[in-house]
Amino acid sequence: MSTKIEGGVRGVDHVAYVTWKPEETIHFYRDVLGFPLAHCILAPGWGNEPHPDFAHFFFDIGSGGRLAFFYYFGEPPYEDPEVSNLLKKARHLALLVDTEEELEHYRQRLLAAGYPMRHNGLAVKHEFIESIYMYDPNGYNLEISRKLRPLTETDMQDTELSIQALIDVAREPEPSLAKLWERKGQLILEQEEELSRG
Amino acid sequence: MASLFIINVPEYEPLWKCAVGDSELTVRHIGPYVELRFPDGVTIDRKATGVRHALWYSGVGALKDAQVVQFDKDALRVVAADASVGANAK
Repeated sequence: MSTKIEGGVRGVDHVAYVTWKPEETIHFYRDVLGFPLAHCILAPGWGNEPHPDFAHFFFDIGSGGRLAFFYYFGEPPYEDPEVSNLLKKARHLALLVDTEEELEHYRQRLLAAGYPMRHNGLAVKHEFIESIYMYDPNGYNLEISRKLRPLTETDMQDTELSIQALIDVAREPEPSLAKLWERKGQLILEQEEELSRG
Repeated sequence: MASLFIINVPEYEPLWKCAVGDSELTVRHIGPYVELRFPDGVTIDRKATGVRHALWYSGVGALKDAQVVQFDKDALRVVAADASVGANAK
């Protein structure tokens, strides 16, 4: 099933990362996880800006989406020391499966291949999804999830209030979670008052 | 009175059902939330809820005239903002 948002976007075409470990990356995604290779572009550096020659390869991640990597020839491995571990962990890609059996299928493939998974390799239920977490050979944070229930009108109302409170608090000096909770409580009661006034 | 709001969806139901007020506790449904109202403090024991950590730590929806004084693997404790009761709990 394909669903679109107003305007026409209906999903991810591809997301792209850089790798200095093409063999390990291909082994991990193609052989361990079983994502078919979909496409590979080989090109010399071209254009006005200096640009290395590169290979750009894509794995099929279902529903027409692809996970892509660039390998740049002659480009030394680079890691930005300014990027904290918190930010490295926060940046992640979460892939979707439908069933508990499918999630378990990937968990077992990773365990069998001896890939260290986060959370001792256990699936974690959080809010309305259940996930397994791992790092790929490049150290990129990858999650595979299944939905435990559909999002409802209740979740949407809560989201709107959380986001309004976040914007309000982040505009002020020294934003904090405690301030956000209090601001959101104020918004809930204001909304209730408006509704009761009709 | 102080309030703790918890979103009214199935996975957070054990939180408000296990809430214990220091003296009195009233529970009402307000929009998409369950509101726990109390004059002094309220405590929720995590083990009593059976809720695991990843869900537990996103259990506070909102507060009104209240502050969290303990939120760890054992318990969530919220007190009235002007109350000293439990303020030294953590």
